[in-house]
This record gives sequence, C-alpha cells and structure tokens, in this order.
Amino acid sequence: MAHPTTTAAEARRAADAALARRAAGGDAAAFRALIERYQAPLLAVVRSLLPDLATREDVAQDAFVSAWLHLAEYDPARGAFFTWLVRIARNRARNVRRKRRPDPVAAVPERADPAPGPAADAARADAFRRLDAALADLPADQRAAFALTAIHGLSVAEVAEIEGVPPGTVKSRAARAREKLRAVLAREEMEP
Amino acid sequence: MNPEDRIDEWARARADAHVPDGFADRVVAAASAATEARTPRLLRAAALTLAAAGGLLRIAAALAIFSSSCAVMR
Repeated sequence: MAHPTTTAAEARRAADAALARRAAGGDAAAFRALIERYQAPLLAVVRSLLPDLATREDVAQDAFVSAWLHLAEYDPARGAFFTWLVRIARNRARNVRRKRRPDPVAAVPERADPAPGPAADAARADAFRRLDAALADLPADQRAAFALTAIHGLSVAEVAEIEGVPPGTVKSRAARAREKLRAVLAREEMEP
Repeated sequence: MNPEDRIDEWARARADAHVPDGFADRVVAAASAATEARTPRLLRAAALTLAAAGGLLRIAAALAIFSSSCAVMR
C-alpha cells in the first residue's frame, strides 16, 4: 500500500471504523466493502509472510473470516482496521508455519512482472526475481519486520505491537533484512 | 540504479497482490458458514448457563427451607 497523507489516512481510518461498526452489527454489505478494500494488500501481506506456501489464499480467507467473527473486538481508537487485520493474518501465518512443511512453490509473485523488453527492463525483472527469492530465504521474524514496514506500509510501532517485541527490535530486524537484500543486489552486480 | 532505489521500487511493486477471481465471494460464503456453525455452540452455552442457574436456585431454596426449619426448632 502507498503511504497516504495524514489527512487521507485519518479519513480512511474513520471510513473503515464506520464500515466495521456496521459489519459488527451484521451488515454483510459493509463487511464485503472491507474485503474489497483490503483483499489485494492482505493477499500481498500473506504472500510476504508465507512465500513458500501454495495455499496463501486460504490463509488470507481465514484471516478475513476471523475478522468477521471478532469484529466486536476491533477498537478504532487502538489502531487502523488494516493493522488489526494484518495482526490476525500474522497469527494465522505463524500457526500455519508451525503445522505445515513448506510447499515446493517457487517464491514468485502471482502477478507476473512485465515481460523484459529493453535491457533496463530485463535487469529490473531479474533484480525483482532475486529480491523475491531473498525475501523468502530470510528468517521469518526479519521477513515479517521488513515486509510489514517497507512493503506494506505499517509503522514500526504497529509492527512492534503485532510481533509483541519492542520497536527497536523491529527496526533492527528490518535493517538486517535490508542489508541482506542489498547484498543480493551487490552480488548480482559483481557477477560477469 | 542504486540498490536502495531498486529495493524501494521492488517493495512498491509487491505492495499489492493479484486477487483471484471470486475471492470476495468465497470469503463472504465462508464467513456466513462460520457464523451458522457458531450459533448452535452459543445456544448450547446459553442452555448450560440457564441449567446451572436453575440448579443453583434450587440449592438456595433448599438451604433456605433448612435454615428456616432450624430457626423454628430453636
């Protein structure tokens, strides 16, 4: 998700809170509106957290269903709806990882990157593939810290609450992850 | 392109995922099924609570009769 301005973020938060209130009262249309608003970013979050799992759609679906069943517990004063949803998905992902072995799925995005044309596009596509693989190879806690902050736009404080660790730990995990990703690109540049 | 810019470019590209056709429909159906599955459990819990409350009232009534009988005998 892009980083919205403060005013736009506040307006979105208020709109989400209103939809969540209506959905908690049984308004299925309001719940559907929340699904349609957050299905793409939540699927992206689950892909980042579980890059080696073929049934990511199931995990994202379970997270939405769990949100539906526990909507009365969502408190807008404590944080954005998407952050609450990500927390649910993160817990689901942890449970799945504990129970299952990774499926032999290559760490590639569902949406194919544009076909390489000129050399710059080919270099970009190759770099993206390497970064996808490097993200999948990171330890789970570094992957989560980096993905949730750098890719999915959550604040360090929000990720700290989701992960149950101090903000400094989130920052250092994300920094170590970024160093490894940088190293992957540096190795690529050194290759003949 | 320097590595930091490349990482940021890649991160922006990965912020959204392809949404499979019908995903929202499947979520709504699963949520509806989960709600229906939950309702009998809630009803059972309510029935057990009422039964327990009824039992406690009967015990209290029996104790009240016993203590009033003891008071009369004194």
